[in-house]
Order: sequence, then structure tokens, then C-alpha cells
Amino acid sequence: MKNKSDKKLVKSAVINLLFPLVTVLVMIAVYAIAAAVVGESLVMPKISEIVFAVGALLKSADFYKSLAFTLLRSLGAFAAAFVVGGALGIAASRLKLLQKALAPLMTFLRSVPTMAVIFLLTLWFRSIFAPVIVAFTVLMPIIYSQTTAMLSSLDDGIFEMCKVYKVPKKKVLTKFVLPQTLPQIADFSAGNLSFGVKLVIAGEALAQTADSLGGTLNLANIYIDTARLFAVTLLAVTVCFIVEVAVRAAALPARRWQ
Amino acid sequence: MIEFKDVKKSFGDKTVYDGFSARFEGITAVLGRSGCGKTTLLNIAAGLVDYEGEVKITGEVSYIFQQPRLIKNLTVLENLLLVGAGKEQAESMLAEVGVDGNLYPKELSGGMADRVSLARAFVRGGGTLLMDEPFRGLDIGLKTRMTDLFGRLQRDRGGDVLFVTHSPYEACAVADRAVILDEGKIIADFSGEKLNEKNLIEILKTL
Repeated sequence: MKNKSDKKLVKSAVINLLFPLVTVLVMIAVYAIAAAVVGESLVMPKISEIVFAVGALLKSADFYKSLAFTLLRSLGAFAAAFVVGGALGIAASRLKLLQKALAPLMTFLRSVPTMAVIFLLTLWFRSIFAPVIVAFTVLMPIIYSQTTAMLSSLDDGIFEMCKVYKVPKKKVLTKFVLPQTLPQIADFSAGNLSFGVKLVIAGEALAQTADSLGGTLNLANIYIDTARLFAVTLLAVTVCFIVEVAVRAAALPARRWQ
Repeated sequence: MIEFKDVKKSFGDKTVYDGFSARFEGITAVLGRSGCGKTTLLNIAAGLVDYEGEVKITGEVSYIFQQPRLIKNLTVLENLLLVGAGKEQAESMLAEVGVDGNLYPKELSGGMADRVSLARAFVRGGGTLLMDEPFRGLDIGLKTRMTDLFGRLQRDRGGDVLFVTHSPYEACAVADRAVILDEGKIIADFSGEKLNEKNLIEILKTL
């Protein structure tokens, strides 16, 4: 029995740790070979140059300030989109008329090209707000759709059973609706928050926002400091990854029944 | 007692009941061809669908649905507690049906889930019990064990039961009265000695 559970543990460790690690190592190796073949630091800096640039960024107080402001904007945009998209999603699942009324707006917001939204909003708003509004505009309809889909996937039969057995509404919410939707909300939120960071960085780069990761990327681009460009990108990817993992980890207790 | 007075129910253009009146006491089996409105009759009694007319029911309503309808994030015991059962009462009912209360629904076999659904209905005590083909899809051994269990629990519980089934065997094994529905009306009504499989089959095969 112990042997069987040990095997399971080893298998899980291989799948969850070793495979992603091998993929990352292969990506690094492919990049190192490509950089050696190109042989031009301005186009593809060497791995050592990128590592040096990452080190320099990590030692700089400005980087942490930029990172903090970018994360703050991302969190703000995500929180606003979560509240508005979630509330509209809940209301629309209960009122079909509202769902029909919102459909054209949501379809428009979902299908309008993200770059067009970024260009327009960076023109209309101050550079510190534009990235937040960009991320909100893109995330809100996504969260709205996820909320309506999630609520319509709840089993109507359970609501009928609760009605017959006169289960109080508060209990229906706390014992059925929330436990069954929280794991999905965590999954959506992890992806949306990470997507929000990307959108904010894109907005910041185009709006040339001061004290931001996007602004840092933009400056690196202007000065053709490719190693720094790669270093900021790498750190942004790491931040998105940490954000996703943290949100999913926070939701683990809600998955006990799964 | 379950009493329907001049009940009318339509789904779009299709009229299922147009002035249906009947009174049921004890354990009554309701038979009829598919789509004749048997489940709709239970849903009207349970207040799950809108209808015109009047329905009178004695006591609280319990409902054993075709599917067990257990909440999968709650343990078996928690599923019983949710409908208002006391802990001791729920544990004793689970011991009666032979299911571990600490299991989650995904850990139950089909037969065990059906027994939990039965336990949930019976844990509320007297009143009216509605059952929609609760033994459907069970093999003959399990079906016999379930009908025996139902009989034992029902003797302790008392109260009226309206029981939808396609099976004349189940109707005779469980009920003390059986009615056959067609086009929103009772076309046959058997009880006592006349309630036997032969009589039921004779009518059912003409539908």
C-alpha cells in the first residue's frame, strides 16, 4: 500500500515539476543556440547579458517602484472588472431581459480589437489611468461571460430539491452555490488577473506611463537596450506566474470536495 | 392526503391537465405511458411548476426524484442535515439505509446514492412523500432490496405517498392503490384484490 502511494507521489512530482522544468530548460537552450547563431546582442542578447540585466533591475529601487505601481493598476483594474462584470453577470442570469439588453454591448466590447482600445484610451485619458481603463474594458466583458456561464452550469435540480425541502436561501448560497462556484471563480481570477497585468503593461508602454513596467519596457525599446527589454519581460512573466499560482493556492481549501 | 381540485396545466400549446380532480391517501402508484403527465402531477403537488386550480397536501412534502440530486460538495451526512434533519436522526437513518455519512456523493455507487435520496426523504418524518420512479435502472436484486427498505421505512414513518412508476411489479409491491393516467385523466383505478400485475398490464398495453 505504501509502495503504491510512493509511486503515485513520484509520478505526480514528475508530472508537476520535472516536465515543466524540462520545457523551460529546452526553451533556454533553444534561445541560447539562436542567440549564438545570430551573434548580435542588439537583436538577441546572450543569456549571460539577460541575467546581468535582470540582476541590475533587481538591485534598482526604481524597478520595485515600477513593479508596485503596475501591480496596483492591475489589481485595481481586475477588482473593478470583477465587481462590475460579476454583478452584471449575476443580475443577467436572473433577468433574461437584462441579458438580452446587455448582449450587444458585451459582444462589441469582446470583439473590438484590444490594440484599438489601448490606442483610443491612451488618447482620451491621462497616462496613469489609461492602462487601468484599458484592462477594465477588456476584462469586464470576459468576467461577465464567465459569471453567466458559471451560474447557468449550476444544477437546476438541486435548486428544485432545496425548494421542496424548504432549505433557507442563505444555506442554498453558502452550502451549494458558493462552494461549487469558488473553484471556478479562482481559476477564472488567476487567468484574468495575469491577463490584466499583461494588458496594463501594454497600456503603460503605449501611454508612456511613468513608474511602470510598461514604461520601463518602452524606454528599453527607445534606447535599443534589448537585454533590458528581455529582462523586464522575463520579470513580468515571473510576476504573472506568481500571481496565478498564489490565487490558485488560496483557493485550494475550496476544492477539498473535488 | 393529497387532493387535486380542477387542476389545469399546459406547456405551450400542449394541455396536460384540463380540470384534473383526484384525492389520494395511503400509498398510491401512478402509471401511464411516457409523456402522459405523471412527473408533472408530482411537480404540481411539490409546487415546482405553475398551475391553475387547487392542491391540498397534508404535512410537509418530501420528494424522491428520478436522480438522487445530492449536493456533491457536501458529505452524505451534510446532505441530510441540509434538509433540516437533526444529527442523531440523520445518523440513525443512514445506519438504517447502510451508507457511511462521511462519504461524498462521488464516492457512492448508483444504488448507494438512491438509498441516500430515500434516507433524505424519510428523515423528515410524516407528511406527504412524492416519488418519481425511484427504482428505475436498478437490477432486480437491488430493486427488491430497495422496495423492502422502502416498505420498512414507510411502516415507521406513516403518511401518504404518491409514487410514479412504469412498472406494474413495483406498483403491486409498494402501493395499496394504483391509478392509470391517460390524456390528463384517471382511466383505471385499482385497490385491494383488484390491484395485481395482470389487471394493470391489461390496461397499460392498450395505451
